[in-house]
Amino acid sequence: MEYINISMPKDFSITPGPRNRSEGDFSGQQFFEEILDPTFAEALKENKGVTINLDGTLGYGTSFLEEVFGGLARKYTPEKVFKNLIIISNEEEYLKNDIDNYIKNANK
Amino acid sequence: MIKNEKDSKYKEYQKRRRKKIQRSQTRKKSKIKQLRKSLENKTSRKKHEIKKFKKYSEIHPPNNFSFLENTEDVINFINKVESNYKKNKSVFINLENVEFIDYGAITVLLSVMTLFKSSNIKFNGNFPKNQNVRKKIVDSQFFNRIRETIFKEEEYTIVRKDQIFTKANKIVDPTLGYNIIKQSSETIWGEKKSCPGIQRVLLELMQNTHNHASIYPDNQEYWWLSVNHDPEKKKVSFVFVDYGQGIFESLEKKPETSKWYNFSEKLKEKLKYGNRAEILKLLLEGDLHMTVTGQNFRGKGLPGIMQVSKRNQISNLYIISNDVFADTNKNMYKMIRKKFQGTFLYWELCYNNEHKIWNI
Repeated sequence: MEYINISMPKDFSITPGPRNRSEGDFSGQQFFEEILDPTFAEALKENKGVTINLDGTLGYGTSFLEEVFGGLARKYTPEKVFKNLIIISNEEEYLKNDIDNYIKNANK
Repeated sequence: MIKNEKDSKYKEYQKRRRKKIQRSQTRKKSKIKQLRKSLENKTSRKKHEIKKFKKYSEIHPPNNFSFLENTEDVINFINKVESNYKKNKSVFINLENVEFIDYGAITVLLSVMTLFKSSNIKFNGNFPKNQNVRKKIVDSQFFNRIRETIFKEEEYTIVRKDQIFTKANKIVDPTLGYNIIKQSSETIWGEKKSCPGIQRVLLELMQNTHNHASIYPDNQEYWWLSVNHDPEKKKVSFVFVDYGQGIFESLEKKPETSKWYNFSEKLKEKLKYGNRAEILKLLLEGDLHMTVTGQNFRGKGLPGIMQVSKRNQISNLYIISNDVFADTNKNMYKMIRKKFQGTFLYWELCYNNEHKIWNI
């Protein structure tokens, strides 16, 4: 499968922030609406997958991650997300496990 | 007959009036006597201070002015200051006899001073006799700020010596951690290192204050962060405080639509003693989330901070909120007699904490 690559620091910010736009800058909502959602939709249309590289930032708040990946699963179903999304996180390996949980429990 | 009656009523009135004036004069005399007495054997500077601030409410912080070591007395001090603030009354903080002060108490001093002065309520204080305490408070810029006019603003930054600074804001500021992490790692490891645990703690706390501290959604509370470098011990300590509802009052006010509504009922079987100290422990361990919501703990908010501590990304995490004190390092969770209206956290970044290559 071919992949469209997203780099968090290059394509969005080195300081990802809170969950919603109203709470502060570089929110999960902003990343989802402006970058991840359109890219994922385009990838599905073209039978491609998406990779997100989380390395190279200052760190992540849990609400940001839940909004982004839980939000993606709520819109496209957890199955589609698991099938078409690859997370790269070498600096904070535990994030992959956390994100898997956000995707699994997105609709609870 | 009528005239006589009027006369006697008038006489009564005059008698009462005379007595009232007499009482007021006695009170005044007694106050002057008290003031004179308090000025006896005092230096001219002290005399000036007493006369200048005689209309202020004088508040004495505890001699051991440490939020972590002497929590109840410090809460008592904060409550006294707060009660004057609510009554719009000027306060004078008498620091003369303070023998020890920690950064938690300094952050409290800076925050209440800003609160008073930005609300146009007079606020002042004097120098401690103890030289170490005096230096710490002077370095904090407390006395400089006292002389300045402070306006109501969205954000306050108080930069101090030796890379120490205090900042207040109402929103979640993800860029806040950039310089903090860069400078802290240089103090501890001699070069820039990435510390994602610190960034997570800052984000979770700012978000908690933004979303849960205020009862009113349109009236956001300030959070206060103070960062203090100790190059000798290769350690940086952090103090985060807000004067919102506090963890428990916030949970207890959740509406019926919230999954946290009536959480204490759902917890009954899990608790041994049934007090808030036990609940805080469950909350930090993620068990509260599982019991109340029936879902797996997903590392959000306070449990997320505890997780950072367990991953050795920070050390010596303390939490004080409402009437609970937690020293997570010692696994000590206890009830305290005085209630703190807000949430206070202290933690450290030390040489042995996990860090990564700076790749930003």
